[in-house]
Amino acid sequence: MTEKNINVPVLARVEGEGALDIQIRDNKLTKVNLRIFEPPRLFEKFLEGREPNEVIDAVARICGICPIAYQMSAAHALESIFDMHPHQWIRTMRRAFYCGEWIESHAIHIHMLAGPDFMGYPSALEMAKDHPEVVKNGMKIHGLGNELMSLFGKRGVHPVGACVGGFYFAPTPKDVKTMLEKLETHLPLAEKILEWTASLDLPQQKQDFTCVCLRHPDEYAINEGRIVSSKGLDIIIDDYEQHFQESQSPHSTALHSHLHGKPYLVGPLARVNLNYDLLPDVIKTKLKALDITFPSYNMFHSIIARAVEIYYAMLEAIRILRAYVYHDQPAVAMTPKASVGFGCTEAPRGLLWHRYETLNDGRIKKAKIVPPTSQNQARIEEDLRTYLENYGLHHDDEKLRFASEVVIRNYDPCISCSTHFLTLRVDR
Amino acid sequence: MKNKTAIIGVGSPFGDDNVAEQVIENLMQAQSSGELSSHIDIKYFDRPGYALLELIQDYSNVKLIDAMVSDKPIGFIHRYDSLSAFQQAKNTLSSHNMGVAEVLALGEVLGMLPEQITFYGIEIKGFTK
Repeated sequence: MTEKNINVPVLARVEGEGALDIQIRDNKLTKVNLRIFEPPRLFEKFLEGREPNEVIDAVARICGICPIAYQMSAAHALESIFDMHPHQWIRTMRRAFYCGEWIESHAIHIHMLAGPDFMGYPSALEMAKDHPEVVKNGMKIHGLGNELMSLFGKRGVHPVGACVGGFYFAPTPKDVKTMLEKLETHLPLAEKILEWTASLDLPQQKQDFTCVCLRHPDEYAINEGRIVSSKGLDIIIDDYEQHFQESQSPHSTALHSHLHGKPYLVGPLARVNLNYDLLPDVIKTKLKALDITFPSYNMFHSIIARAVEIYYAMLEAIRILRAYVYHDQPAVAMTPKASVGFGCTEAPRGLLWHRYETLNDGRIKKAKIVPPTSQNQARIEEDLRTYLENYGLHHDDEKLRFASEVVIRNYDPCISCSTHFLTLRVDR
Repeated sequence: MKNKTAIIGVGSPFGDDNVAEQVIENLMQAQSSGELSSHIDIKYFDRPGYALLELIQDYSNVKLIDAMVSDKPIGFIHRYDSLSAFQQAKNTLSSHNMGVAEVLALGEVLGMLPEQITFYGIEIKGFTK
């Protein structure tokens, strides 16, 4: 019997820390263990005893890339516990705020993380030497996303503008006008990025997987909706735990999530696949012209899905800011009480589910946070099995390591929120 | 017009990595008491990643402060007057994967760096892995 073990000790161009162990026996993969180190779980304990608005600021610190997602899921959960009903202005501005995060996060992943993989470069730095405009476009859009986050959050990194009930302040019409002009000026860049991702020579491999995301009847879901799947699941967010199971695996500090016992996909590709009908016609027409079809079950179309969502988020932010009217009550009053509530929003990387139990004064008794990367972990392992066996296990360890990294990076795993980079160990 | 100077501290607010934040706080106090020119922008950014390039766009002269780990004693201040000198320094530390050196190298390739950039690395106790 021939044996081979591959170990990728450090995963490059992934947010956070992770490692991969694969075991090959007689040219077959017998073990694929993605090890992720996951700090959010510690946050659950940190939050106990905290006041509601402390939670909003604390959870923003879980991730430097997607703080708004954490803030929004927490705010929605606490508002549901306290029977608070933020008015339409708050709901709409939260959507614009969140668009900023989708734009900045997706721009980084497309241009700095996944892009070099499909352009044949070892890093964004090397790609920038030959394709400076591509990288500059990405940086520009990334910066715009950060600015949009700052409009409502006062800063792009760990914003502080959101509170339970809405916002601490409403942006001035002057600041909104400046932001709107920048978004309108740079909208053609979003279209260009979509064209560029559609022109990439992506690996062609269809896989069978279940997509999961939020779905809202009237809009492309970001902050609100029911949890739906490509296999017919359609539930309110409160029922998440009845269908999704988390389990501990010895090889990872991140919990593995399964839907009815099986791996599933969350994130941009799942969203575009399930909510394609809710995208504006201008994007559908563009995709048709580019000969790109969704739903797609080629995982590598994730980069195109991200570009679709950048384009969408720019259009949506423009639509909202054009109609902006200053509001002197950007938050509704907080009415703390003891109960249990849930919040679920679409972080750039996918479904981000929170559950809180509060005390009479609204302080946190118990918190549970299920981030997208741990939900995708089982799906990544399943993808690695299929992809590496098709790719050929006879390849040397270096090639297997690179192929593994490309597969993993494609999910944009925020391993800082579920975990540094890939240590690959191959056991042959 | 790009003729402004900025002193920018970067790093996480946690542990010894917050040394740049502390320096920036002291400099801000010095500025408010008139010891330092009010024409200089003094800023701290918590692990800005690639956004650092956008954040330094408006300046012609940037002084960047970050924590460092080398064989020097804790509190030692390293100074590098060019990006290449900074990159050649061994054991530069970033508590985040998108390190300052990596981001600035990208900025150099893209022509996005200020005319003058000086790095100050303050020696801290290293992280254990």
